[in-house]
Amino acid sequence: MAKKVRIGVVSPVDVAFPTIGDAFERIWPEAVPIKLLDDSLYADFIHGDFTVDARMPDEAYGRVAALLRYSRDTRADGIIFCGSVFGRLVEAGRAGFTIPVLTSYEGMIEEAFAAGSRLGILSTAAGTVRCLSDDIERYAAARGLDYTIVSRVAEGGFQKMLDGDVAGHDALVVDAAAQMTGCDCLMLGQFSMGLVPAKIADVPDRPVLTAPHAAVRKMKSLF
Amino acid sequence: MAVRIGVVAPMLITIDPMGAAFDEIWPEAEHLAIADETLYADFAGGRPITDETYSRVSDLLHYAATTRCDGLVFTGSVFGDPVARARQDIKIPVLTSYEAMIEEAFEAGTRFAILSTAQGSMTNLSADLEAEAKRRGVGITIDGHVAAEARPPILAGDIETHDRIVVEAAAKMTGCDCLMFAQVSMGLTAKKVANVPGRPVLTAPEATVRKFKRLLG
Repeated sequence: MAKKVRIGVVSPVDVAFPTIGDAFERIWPEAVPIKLLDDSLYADFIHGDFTVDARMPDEAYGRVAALLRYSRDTRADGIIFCGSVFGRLVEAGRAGFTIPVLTSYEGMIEEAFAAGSRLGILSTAAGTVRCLSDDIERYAAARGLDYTIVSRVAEGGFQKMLDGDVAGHDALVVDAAAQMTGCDCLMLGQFSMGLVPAKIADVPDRPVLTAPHAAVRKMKSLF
Repeated sequence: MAVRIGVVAPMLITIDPMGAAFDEIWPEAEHLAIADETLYADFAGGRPITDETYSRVSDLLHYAATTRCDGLVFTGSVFGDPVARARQDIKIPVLTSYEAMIEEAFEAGTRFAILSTAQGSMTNLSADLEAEAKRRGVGITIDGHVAAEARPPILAGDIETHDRIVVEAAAKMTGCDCLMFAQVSMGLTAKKVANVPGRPVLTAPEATVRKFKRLLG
């Protein structure tokens, strides 16, 4: 039997794990995702309202890079980093790696541009919209792509998820999604929103994209 | 600023029992988790402890030591020796899963009972107790019971079944100076065990938090 592919799933918060687990089960059940959790990244670098400083401190860059190196050395064949506000730090930290390391969003951003240039973003925390928009901007700038963004925040949703109120969280997201038409795709900003799409009413020509599923599809395509 | 303790774990299921012990015994302390399940996948469940185990445990603890923690506890019971070696050059206190509980056990007496849900933990805790007895120059007895049928339920998230098996097994373990639970993941079960006078039930999470509170509180 061929050796199974091991993907390190690195996260600053454990609510990301069920959605990434779901994505692996659906899309790539042959791979073995293994969890690496570090609560300290949230504790030290994310404010109480889930926003972050415009420029993260060097300590955050150092810690994310060290965590990625640690994960690489646990026999991982690839790494998915689930913290959506750490995209820029992951891009810096993975430099020189010979295994693929994906940020939360880059798989989803690729799929979004494949769907069109009018990008919809729905999130449960304002900070995430900014982070995803920043990641999109860097991605588009590197490729010379034009685009527009429509965004909405389902206020209070992320706190409900942290409090364990999954049903309340999902209801907020579903309501907000219904109001977002007129875009070529709808991206869900948090990893922890990844199980909601099944509940969102279908809008023709507006695929709902989730970061964990897109990340797993992208990682699978690399093996 | 609050004292911060890092709970370094080879399995996510050991985090909640540690958190519950902090909430009850030392709520003023901040506790956060740094968990790597590859350690459990590669080295627990009867797999051999190798040089790679030592270096990976060391790497994880050294990483955790950079996250502004004032103390660390490693919650994997089969990793006692790698933790003991790795902490030699870490400047903050680093506890293995068992050492605080073993201290409390020797305060309770010398007739020990151990209840475990895995043979590996039983072997490790027994060895750690024997080593401590030798160091202290005292004779001990160990009455061990492995309730292996409780392990699959806890790994699958079925806490109720796990707890029922553990509680039933604990009821039969009397005639000792203390009863130790060998898994960190059994930490939340102790509250459900019927009280037996003169037989305290010791758990690794509670003993660990009490020890940190003495050291750093």
